[in-house]
Amino acid sequence: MGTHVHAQTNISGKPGLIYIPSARQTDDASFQFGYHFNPIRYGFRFNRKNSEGIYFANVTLLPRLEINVNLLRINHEVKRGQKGIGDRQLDIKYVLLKETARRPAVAVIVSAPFGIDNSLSTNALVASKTLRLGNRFYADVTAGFGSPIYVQRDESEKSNYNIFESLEIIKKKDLSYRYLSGPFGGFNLRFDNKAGFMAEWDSQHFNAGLYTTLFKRWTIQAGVLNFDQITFGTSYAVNMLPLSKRLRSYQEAARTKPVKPTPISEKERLLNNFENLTIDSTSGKITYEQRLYRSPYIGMVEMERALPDSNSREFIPMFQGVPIGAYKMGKRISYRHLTNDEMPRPGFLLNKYKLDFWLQPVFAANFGYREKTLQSNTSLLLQTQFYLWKGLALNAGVLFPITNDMDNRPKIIRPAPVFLNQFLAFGKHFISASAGYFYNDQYGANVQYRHHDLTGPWSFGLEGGLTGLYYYTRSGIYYEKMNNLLLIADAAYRFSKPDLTLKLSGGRYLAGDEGVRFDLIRQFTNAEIGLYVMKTQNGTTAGFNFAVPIPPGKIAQSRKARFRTTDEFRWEYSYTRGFRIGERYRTGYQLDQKLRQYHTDYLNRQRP
Amino acid sequence: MKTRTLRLLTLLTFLTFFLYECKDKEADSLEPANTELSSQLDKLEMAPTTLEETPDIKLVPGKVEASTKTQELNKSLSTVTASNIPASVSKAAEEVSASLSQADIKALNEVSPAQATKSVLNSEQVRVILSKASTDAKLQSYLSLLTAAKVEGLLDGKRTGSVTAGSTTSPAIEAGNTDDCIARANEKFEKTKERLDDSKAKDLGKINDNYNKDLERIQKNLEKCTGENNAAYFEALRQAGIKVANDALAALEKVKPFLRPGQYEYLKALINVQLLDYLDKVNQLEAAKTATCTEIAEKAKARAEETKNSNTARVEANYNDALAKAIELRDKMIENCHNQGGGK
Repeated sequence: MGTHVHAQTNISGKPGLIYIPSARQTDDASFQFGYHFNPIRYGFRFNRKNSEGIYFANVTLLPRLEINVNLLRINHEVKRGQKGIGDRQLDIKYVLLKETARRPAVAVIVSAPFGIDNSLSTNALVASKTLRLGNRFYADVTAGFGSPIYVQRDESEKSNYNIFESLEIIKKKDLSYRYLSGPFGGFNLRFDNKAGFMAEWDSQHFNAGLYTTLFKRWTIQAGVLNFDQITFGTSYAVNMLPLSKRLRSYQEAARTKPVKPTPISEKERLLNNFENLTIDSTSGKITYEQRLYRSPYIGMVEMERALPDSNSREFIPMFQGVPIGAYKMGKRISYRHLTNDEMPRPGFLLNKYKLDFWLQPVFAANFGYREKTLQSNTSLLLQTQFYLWKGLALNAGVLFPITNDMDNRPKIIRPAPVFLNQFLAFGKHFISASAGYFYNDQYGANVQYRHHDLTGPWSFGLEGGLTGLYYYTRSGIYYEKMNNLLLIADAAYRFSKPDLTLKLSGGRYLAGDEGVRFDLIRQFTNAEIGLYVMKTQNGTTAGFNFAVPIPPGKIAQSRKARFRTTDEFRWEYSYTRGFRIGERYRTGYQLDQKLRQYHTDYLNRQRP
Repeated sequence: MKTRTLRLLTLLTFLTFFLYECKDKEADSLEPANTELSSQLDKLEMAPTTLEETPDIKLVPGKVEASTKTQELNKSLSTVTASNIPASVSKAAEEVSASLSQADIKALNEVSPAQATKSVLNSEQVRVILSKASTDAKLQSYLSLLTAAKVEGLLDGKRTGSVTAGSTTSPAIEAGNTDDCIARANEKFEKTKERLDDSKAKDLGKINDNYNKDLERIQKNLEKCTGENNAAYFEALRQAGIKVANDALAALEKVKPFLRPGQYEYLKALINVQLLDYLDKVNQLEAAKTATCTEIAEKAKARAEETKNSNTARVEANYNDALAKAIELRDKMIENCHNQGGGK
């Protein structure tokens, strides 16, 4: 997997020149973020009145599909109190044709139509071709046509509860600036991927600029628009697929024959990352549990490294003391269910696990309220788990509040969510049952069932919960009746190349609204990014979510205790909030989120 | 293992202790946090209204009082002896002799207090004498002092505050589903409005109480006024004057032997002219009661009503000002409801 990424971006953060996008196919799992300045005489929103700052993130979600999210912020907003977080825009780029020796890459770019103020709207068909000019010198030539019309919504953000309502066609000629309206084109003369000179016709003006990429990831660029005003920007790019250097070296060492023994100190250090470890040298099975890493594959690689000379080539990772299955660690990883005889006997588990403490941030936010554009409720949880019995864990912790602009509840140090969770696995059948005080101020009971073949594409789930509101006051807990019924069923299909899951779920949500939700989830090596759209009786919305580990991971560890940062921080953004559309609460983990990490295709994609 | 079990049990005990007690909801703690605007809305109060009081409108009855000189004379008369005739007595006799003719004196001396009827008073001769006495610089000071009846409390002009027209108070809810933010702005506004309504109701209650108190006082004044302004009252005034005259005449008779010739007649004439003047003034007083007690009460009621209306108008004005401010703050809050999504 190549780790080089092209970080040069156009004004909205897409691969391209200065204003114009290109059709260039970015590397799978590329993630770029950055900022561009747009000068006053070329302002998209308030042309000749305000300059603009454009903040963006661009992710290659699938090899041919890029998602670009950008925020256009007006500089020096005169009307006091009129500012929000900026105009939100979501653009989708799909590479229709990949570039070959003879033909250019062709891509279509579409701005999501649910925007209300999309002055940077990009609807274009574009073609790009790279020509080699000489040793390490290239010319990337791009030409395309931008649609003179686009779709947006004639809606107030105050009643924005249906993102597909009030769609209307806007003519770009009616706007104060016609961004990408008509034919455009340009070229980039570059020296490798290190630096380049760009010139373009952006459908309105001639622009020219320079860029350079430092340390292979950080790009700085600047240009002159219409021989008149300066634009500049910067971006940083990473790729979310490669394993860390340390893990790659482990993999390479495992492939080297004959296998070299691991130094004792390293072996001990690595094995200390595992808990409830059983090495059965006669059957060649290693049973263990690892809680340090979000991806189970990292645990497998570390185990391979720790015990390279062992004959044991079947790993049995456990979750809360329950084996997920047996993974045979060959060139490819294969999976089988455990027989009843192989299942570990129930017993008291506490002494087989470390005292594990971790820091878990929680961040809830409302965006756009003009008086305070970011209203947040942030806290840091010091969490722990006690494994009591096979599959049974008590989750507890202490919550340290940091900010609270969202309600009048006191900022007091209080217990973090405290609940019992029972995890069960019977072949393809998995159950997670929880009772106690959950996240999002709900207490009660929640049961999830999932039928999941960890080698097959389909999985099905059912979830039911009965909960009520609770929260901590200065003097105790306030409860409301347990009368919130949550009933959700889902079916998910997983594409192995890339690790893409499409999930359709529906049922009754926390606010009593009934509806359906469609998720598109891409798993990367350490992270997960999803897009969703949802419609319930309370409205229609869309958004994105992601799950990432919080660095640095392990902070301190002994044989008996460990202190670390969380292996997973999960966050979901909703395009519209406050209408209680398909709300739900969180328990410790969602069964489908947990299990898809153990899918053999996902593990094998990380195995070279 | 024992240590761990102990640790776990300690933790569970702690959690049970901590979580067991169910507490009451802390007021409003689930509501969104206060912003500058919502705090302003929470603190918004009606400006205090200083209530105007209704003046006490009542009839102050008129009176006729003996002059200082008369009082002095009457006092001096009893001190007259053969060897001592006080200067005030001699002076009074001299002043009468200089001001009135013999015919006048004779006519006056023929009047007895008991005969001082209306017909006597209205006789042409008496009217001439009284006119002469009242215009004479010297005699004038022996005559009674008349204080006309008057209606107190009518001098202030009426005041009525202007009322600011009330604006719309219906919640500014957008069509369709309502954003939490807008719903909360409306909730905050409704709470503020309730508070303003309470303040207004309190002030209006106070105004009504004051009005009722005014009506009670007016009724009392009416009763008192009726008691002070009937014929018996004036008759009593007359009899009091006649008594004073009789007393003075009796004293004069007693000292008659010690007086020099002529002094007796002059002083008797003076006492009689005083009495006639007094009775004439009582008659004037009785005749001068232009406003009846009922009319005064009606005027007082109208005035109380005006005060009530004026106070009500001022309370309404303050209420409407506060309400307009509340609406402005609510609308600003809603204007701030710029929904750009959220996350958790």
